[in-house]
Amino acid sequence: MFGVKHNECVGFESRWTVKKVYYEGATQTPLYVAKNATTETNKTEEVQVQTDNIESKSVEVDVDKLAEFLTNMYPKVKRELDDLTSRAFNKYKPQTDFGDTSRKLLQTIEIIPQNESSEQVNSAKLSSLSWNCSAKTLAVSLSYTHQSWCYDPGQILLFILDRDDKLPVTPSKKISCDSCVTQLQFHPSKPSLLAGSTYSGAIYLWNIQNSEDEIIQMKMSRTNDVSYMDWITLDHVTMDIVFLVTASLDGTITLWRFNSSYTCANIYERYKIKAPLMTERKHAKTRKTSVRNENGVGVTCFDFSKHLPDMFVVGTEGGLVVQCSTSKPTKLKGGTETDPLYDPVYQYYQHHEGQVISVQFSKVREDVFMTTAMDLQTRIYVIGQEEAARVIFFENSVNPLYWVPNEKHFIFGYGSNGIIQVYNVITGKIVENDEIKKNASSNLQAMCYVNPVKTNVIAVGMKKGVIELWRIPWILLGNMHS
Amino acid sequence: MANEVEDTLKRIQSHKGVVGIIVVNSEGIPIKSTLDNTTTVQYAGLISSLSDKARSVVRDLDPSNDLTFLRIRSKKHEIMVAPDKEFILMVIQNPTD
Repeated sequence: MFGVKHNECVGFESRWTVKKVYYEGATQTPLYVAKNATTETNKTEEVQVQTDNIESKSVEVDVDKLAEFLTNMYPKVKRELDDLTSRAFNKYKPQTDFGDTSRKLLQTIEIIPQNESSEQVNSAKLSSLSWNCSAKTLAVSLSYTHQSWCYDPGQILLFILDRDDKLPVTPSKKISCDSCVTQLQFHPSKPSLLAGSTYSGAIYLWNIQNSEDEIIQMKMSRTNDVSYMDWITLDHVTMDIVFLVTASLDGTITLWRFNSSYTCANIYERYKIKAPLMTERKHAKTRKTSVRNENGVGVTCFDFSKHLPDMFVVGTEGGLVVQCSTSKPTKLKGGTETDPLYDPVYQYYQHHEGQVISVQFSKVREDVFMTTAMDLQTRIYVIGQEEAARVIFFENSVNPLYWVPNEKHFIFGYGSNGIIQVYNVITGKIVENDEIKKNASSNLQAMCYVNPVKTNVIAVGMKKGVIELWRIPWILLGNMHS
Repeated sequence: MANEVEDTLKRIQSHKGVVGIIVVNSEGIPIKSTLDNTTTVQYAGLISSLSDKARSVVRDLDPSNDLTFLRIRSKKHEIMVAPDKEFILMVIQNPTD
């Protein structure tokens, strides 16, 4: 049952323990690089599609009631419309400055150094100035006296009012031009657009908001010198239709119409002022020169009525005062089919003996306008009456006169004694000003520009290159009259 | 009756210096207008709310009183407002002296 079994012994050779060898080898992975790449997503536009017809909600009107309402209201409205003699606002004077009621010379800036005596400084003059419609920026142009062609660089200086309503001594911005700048006018509703003309006959439109490289919005070239320019609007309610009107010494007046972005302009209409063939001047017969030559028709100034947009008055270098109309003018020879020329003359008024330098419609009375001429006279005309209703004579030099804002009886201008003088249209006399005594300077040629917002502030630009900022409390004049 | 409405509007429009006429209902929605759409909507909204305010001022001052006519003279033009229970007539005129 039991057995014994012997198994052969098996020996193992002894060995030294062998160390394991380890190899550490780092695996080479490519360098990690992170990249930010924006993914281009498709632009999506949502277009609303109208699938269902919308039932427009028509306002239901009871026509009978409406007719009854209008019939009842018409006499009331008619009475108010006919009430031209309303005295409701006669003593109403808009007053913006209650604090200070004294006339003041606020500031004087020399834009041309008055003490230097170099030839270029002596021939330099201030040619034009204009406030923009926001009443914060005053643009001033400089020009030089020329014998023939202009090689001088034109310059426009822009002064921006600071917080204290003062002009900086040095201009806030300068605009350079290829020729002397003769006229400047800011756009009536876009404060950054400035129109100007140069001695070389070009008309520029600058956008003063743009950088220096892009400041020229557009340039229109004309061969004739521009003697006067202004912006007009034919729609005073919407202020939408705005034209730039330029006049030149060849007797033409051009209406420029712009596109909505003011990058392109076209001639809308061109008018030519003709001298009257048969003048009614009484003493013209005694002179040898022909009447037509004497009554040079180079247009020096014009003004459009603020009440009747188709009516305007023109002053010429020969002294003519002409009432014109843009509606139904007569076609003249000299124009082309694409660029016709019209005769807008409606009526000639008693003319001046010298160049008319300013013509202005009253903003308060629609039938009254005023002219100032080199014959040292300012005349007040009433539309339809050939003779002047009032003549104001000056002794020495004459500067353009302007209507006092919101007043029908007062006009003002820069006097030869270096202060702003106010004239009463009814009496024809200077309204005395005892507050200011200034040393008289001889023959100061100056133009005034009323700040469009703060009408008490007036910028005066003297041709010798000095700007003065005045504050005149017009309200005192109103009280004086009442 | 429609002709009568148009005739009355034409009569007002033919007056010297009248720039435009707007008739709005009691909700301030323009019913008749001789001005463009944008101007009409602007005038209708603003003037009708001013008219309501003016009427409430008059009534607050004297509950037995009522607003009969409103005339707004500005530098550029003059707006005449004839309010009624159901309609408001607005006439915009250039200022004349």
